[in-house]
Amino acid sequence: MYGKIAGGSGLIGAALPVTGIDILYSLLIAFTLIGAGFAVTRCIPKRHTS
Amino acid sequence: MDFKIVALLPAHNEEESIAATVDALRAQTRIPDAIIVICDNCTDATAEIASDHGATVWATSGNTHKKAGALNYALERVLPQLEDDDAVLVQDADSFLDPGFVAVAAARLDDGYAAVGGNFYARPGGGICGAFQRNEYARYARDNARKHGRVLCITGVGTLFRVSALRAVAAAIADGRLPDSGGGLVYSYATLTEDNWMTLALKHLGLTFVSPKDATMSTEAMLTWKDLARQRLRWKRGAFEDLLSFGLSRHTLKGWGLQLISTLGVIATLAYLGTLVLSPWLGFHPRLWFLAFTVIYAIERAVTVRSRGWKIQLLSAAVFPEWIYDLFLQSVQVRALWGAVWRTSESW
Repeated sequence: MYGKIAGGSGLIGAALPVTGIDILYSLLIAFTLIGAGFAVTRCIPKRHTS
Repeated sequence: MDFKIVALLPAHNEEESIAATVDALRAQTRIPDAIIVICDNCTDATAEIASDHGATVWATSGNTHKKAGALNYALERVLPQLEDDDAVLVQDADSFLDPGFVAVAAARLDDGYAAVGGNFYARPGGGICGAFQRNEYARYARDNARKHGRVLCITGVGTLFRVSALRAVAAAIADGRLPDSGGGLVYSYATLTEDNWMTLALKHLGLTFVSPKDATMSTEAMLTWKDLARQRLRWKRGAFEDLLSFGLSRHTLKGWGLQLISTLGVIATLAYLGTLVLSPWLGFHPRLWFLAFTVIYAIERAVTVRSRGWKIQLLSAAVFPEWIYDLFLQSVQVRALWGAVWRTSESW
């Protein structure tokens, strides 16, 4: 399952497993989505009492 | 609210701010019954200025435990004079309480809380470095208010304690129910962040605390990046070491969770930067729909600093400058974790 990343043609691209990079990108996207979820939550108006 | 309040202000060479600090206490709508400035190894005019402004001045002798040592020195003398229902205000000597702070905090003690902390904002100064801190503190205060004052840590900047709570901590240190305090009577010497340690101690004893949004005060922003790095290194390493000290329990679960999330954040940042650096080899495939997330983040940045005014909101909406600030803080966090794991020695 080793191959070049789409668009990549260098040594590093050739040496890295596609699945590893896919996992990395997936984790980054997941983190972005979770972060965006928190961001939306923080924007929702809330009555400030304490 | 019919109880005595004693204010304790540990001070090490605070001649520039001590007058305003004491004046702010004397301008409270509920003025403390005693204001005691604890001069800790001072070599400047702190004692004279504090005395001139009406504070009682004590001086430590041979204290090597800095703020915690100065506080324990004073508490050892003050606590025997007070009833369980009385209160002790512990605050930094460079923090100025807003006029209603003591009254608001005292009222919350009457609601049954063992300690009442405040929400702090940073005073002007420090250029762009100070501006970032002011944004950060504004967001922290906003979050606290939205959580109804249920904070993770009662601040050392200014907190009002019920005397019974401080006595309970001292007793629990003495009989081993709390982790080793390094010889500290009430405040631990075995921590870099005595307020965080105190918070965990209160939690472990089943005592409750709150930081009401109306209990406000100002504190000094770190004026240089170097000072800021030093401050945050101490905070982050102290928080992590305190969690290690108290172990894993329901009282520390949230703290551990936040450590995990922030560590994941560092890893995500490194991975993101890594993919950017490697993009010539991996390929660069921007997705237009992904820009929507940037818009969400931009809105979040602007909304959460609304209290700072529209100009700051606009700047925050640019995202990138504050991202650089976050990178700075994350780099400090990596250093703090590294130091805690390998137990490197630092001078604070």
